[in-house]
Amino acid sequence: MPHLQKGEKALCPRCGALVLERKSCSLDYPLALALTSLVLFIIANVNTLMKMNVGGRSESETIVSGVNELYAQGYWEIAALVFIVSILAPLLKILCVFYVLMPLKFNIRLRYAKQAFRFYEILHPWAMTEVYMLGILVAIVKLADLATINTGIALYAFAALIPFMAATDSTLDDHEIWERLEPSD
Amino acid sequence: MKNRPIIAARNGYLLCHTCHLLSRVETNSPHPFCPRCNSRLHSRKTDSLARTWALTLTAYILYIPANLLPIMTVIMSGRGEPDTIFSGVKSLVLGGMWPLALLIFFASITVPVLKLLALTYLLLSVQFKSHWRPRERTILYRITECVGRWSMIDIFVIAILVALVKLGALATIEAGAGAVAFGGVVVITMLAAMNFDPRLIWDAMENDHD
Amino acid sequence: MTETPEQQKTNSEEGDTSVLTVEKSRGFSIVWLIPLVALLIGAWLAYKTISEAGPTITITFKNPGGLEAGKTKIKFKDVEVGVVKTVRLSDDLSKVILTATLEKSVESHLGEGTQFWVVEPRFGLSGVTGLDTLIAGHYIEVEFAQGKPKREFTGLEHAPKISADTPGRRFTLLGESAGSLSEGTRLFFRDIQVGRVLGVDLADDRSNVVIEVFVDAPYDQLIRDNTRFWQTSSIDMSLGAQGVNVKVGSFLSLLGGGITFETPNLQDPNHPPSKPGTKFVLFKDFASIAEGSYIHKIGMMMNFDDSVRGLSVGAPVELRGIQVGKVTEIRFKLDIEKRKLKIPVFIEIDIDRILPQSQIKQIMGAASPERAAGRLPALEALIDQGLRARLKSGNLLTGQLYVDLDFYKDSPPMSLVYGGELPELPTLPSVTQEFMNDATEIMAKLKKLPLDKIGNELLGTVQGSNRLMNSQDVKDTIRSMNTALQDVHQLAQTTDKEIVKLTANLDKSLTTAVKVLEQIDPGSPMMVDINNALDELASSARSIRALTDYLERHPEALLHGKAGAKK
Repeated sequence: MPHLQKGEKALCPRCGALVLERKSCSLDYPLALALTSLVLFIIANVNTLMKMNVGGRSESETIVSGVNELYAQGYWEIAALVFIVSILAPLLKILCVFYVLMPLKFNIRLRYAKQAFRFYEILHPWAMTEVYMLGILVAIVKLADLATINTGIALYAFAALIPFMAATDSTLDDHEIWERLEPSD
Repeated sequence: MKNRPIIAARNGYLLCHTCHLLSRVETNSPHPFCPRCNSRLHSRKTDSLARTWALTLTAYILYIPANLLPIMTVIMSGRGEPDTIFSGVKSLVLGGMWPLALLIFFASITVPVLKLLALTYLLLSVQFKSHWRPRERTILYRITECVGRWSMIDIFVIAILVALVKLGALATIEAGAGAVAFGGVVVITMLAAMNFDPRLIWDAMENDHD
Repeated sequence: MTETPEQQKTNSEEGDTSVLTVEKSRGFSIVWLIPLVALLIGAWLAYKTISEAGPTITITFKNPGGLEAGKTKIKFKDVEVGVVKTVRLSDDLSKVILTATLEKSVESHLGEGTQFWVVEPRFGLSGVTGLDTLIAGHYIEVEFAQGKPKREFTGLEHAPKISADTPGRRFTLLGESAGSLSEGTRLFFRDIQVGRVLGVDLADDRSNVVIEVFVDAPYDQLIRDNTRFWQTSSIDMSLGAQGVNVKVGSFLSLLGGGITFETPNLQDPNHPPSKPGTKFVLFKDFASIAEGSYIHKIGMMMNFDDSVRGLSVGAPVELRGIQVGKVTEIRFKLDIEKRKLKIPVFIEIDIDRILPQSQIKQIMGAASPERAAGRLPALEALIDQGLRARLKSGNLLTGQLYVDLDFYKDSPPMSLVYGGELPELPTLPSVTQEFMNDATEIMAKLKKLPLDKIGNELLGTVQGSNRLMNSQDVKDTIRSMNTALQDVHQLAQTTDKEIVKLTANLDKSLTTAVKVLEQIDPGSPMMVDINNALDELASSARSIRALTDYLERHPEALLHGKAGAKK
């Protein structure tokens, strides 16, 4: 296994898949971005996503209300799925990043840091924030000619959350983190 | 490094899937664990073929109710109109919203079908130890793995519509059983893709080279 | 475990450490600005939300309908000012307690008298309100009031009848029965709606009905102490001696009736606008007012010999066509001794209708010997002048009769008879009776006429003229006239035809001539000749034309020739 410098990638000679990548930025980046993501996440969940106004009746909804309604209609399976994929997974991802990286900054390794980081890697494909975003847009367009839709703060926060989470992921140098987590073994 | 690349597994090295640590393993230890992250080490994903087959077949089975059962019912002034995935797309087309219809069609119909087909193909190609274009097959696998999550769009749209359109007698939207099945299809195909070990594609080639 | 990785590790760690050290000395990385900005935005949003949050209040209702936590809005004058947050039952399950947040802007108006009520669709007499709740769901309407700030309120069960800030005054009307009055019944003045009934209730002593009305400003100034209120029913149909009278009001008044008022002498400074709460009497109809205000009445009776069929109690008593009273009673009296049938009819005359108040006071007050004896000298004088009562047909359709008082100079002298219950007026047979009498007279007269003779003479005259008509001379004359006329007619026709032919020929010649002319050189002598010929032709044609014209107008000229000349 070659030892890579920061900013270099190692590709598999056979199939060209990415084996290793060293990032060019310090651990500060993912941490900062994770923090931003967390703030955005909170904003996105607390505020209203959008308000729909039809004939005088208006409905406002947050990300959570979608889950709630599905649950109320009896479809707890989908409710659970949407909840995990749009709220739980991204949140846990961010928290894991915090849990692992924050102490690392001060060169502390917390007890379950490794598990947390592993969990982070597992969670990765399950946080479908951007898919949800697209779903929201589709819903808005679908409803646009029926009613007046007022977009709320949460929508923009959610939209911002996507690139920030992606940035968190991409600035995260897992190889380095594993190496730094190593000595606690 | 092109000639006779060193296969890690051959030489008793195992690469940890999670933390990418290369460790040497005693061949007779039944369940090796990575020293760094404690995840199981295996040369190939456990029972990759069997699990992937099982999940793919389950997905096939679930796909039928996902399309036949309504995923959403729009009740306008008391009249209900259950929509399946297909009828949803149709109504979008009829409504003149072409790009939307195309998107939903792609995400909810094309993608799952292609995933299922791709997985089936990959499974079969490995089963029959095909040599055909391994690199491309691997790329196919990667694409399948990435694209899978986007089928969830329809489910999210339903989640949002259901929560928003609560106008009492005027209009309400209810989710349908088809949505559960469809959600299941997406999740299971994702799991199937995750369980498929692409290295198996190359194994076939290796074994033959022997 | 193995060497290689460890070695690698050490290497990388060292490398990393060195790299890290370099980075560390750079100090605070720029990237931390991003979360900082995000935190600031988040904090600012949070601050905004908290500071903009208005007061939270609780409202208790007994029986509200259609309230949803998080959705039901609170509105003031159709502007959303708050939303219901939670809905729960009280501990004893008897009431519903809501918590709601209102906008900050209304915080200062949440005084003691603020009222909340649930708006539901109402189909009331004052109109249909709140229909939008059927679509948009119920909402709570609020009426703010200044006062001590409160945060806990009890909601009203119904919308308050009058919005507190509506300018106007309340008054109380006392009526006999509620009739068709109810909340929302309109109050009219000169056909303009100026107020409405707030409520109808039994009086405490159950003797009459208390109707609370509200008169909008500025019309409330019209209510004085001499204002009279009366009910206008929606359909007014009376079938009286004056005929059939149908008056239909608006549809709403059909349901709820209406109340009208009138104030005489609005400019009169002696009657200032009434204070709110003043009580008034509500009259059943306009006539009742008049009735009610006629205080001075005189009762009289009269006997009629003929049938009183069609005369009903309440039928008007008219003097020269103006109603001065009404029939109060109709009795039947069989005088066995005298073998006579009498039908005493009792009437009541409102003197107020006849004489002005001042005069009445004079007459009533004046002490005179006649009056003391119970006599009515004024009336006696009128009777001497020929005042009689008779029954007249008021309505041929219904056969209604009324009592008509009029002066009949030629009637035999009669007098007021005293001695009975009431003074008895002299009567005359009814009109029908008279008609019958007259008819009989005419018939008798007709009989007496020498109709035979007249008839014979007429016949002779007719015959004579007939003979004249049939005489030979006349016949002959007429016949010749006929023939002559026929000849003239024929002649006219022939002339007509000839002229047509002539003109046709002329036309032909002209055409030919034109053709010829076209080939001729304009200046040549032939041209001149032709021109002359044409002129002649034209004048001849003109003369002929003149002749036919003349003949048309005077066909007899064919017989008699033109006046003067002969053609």
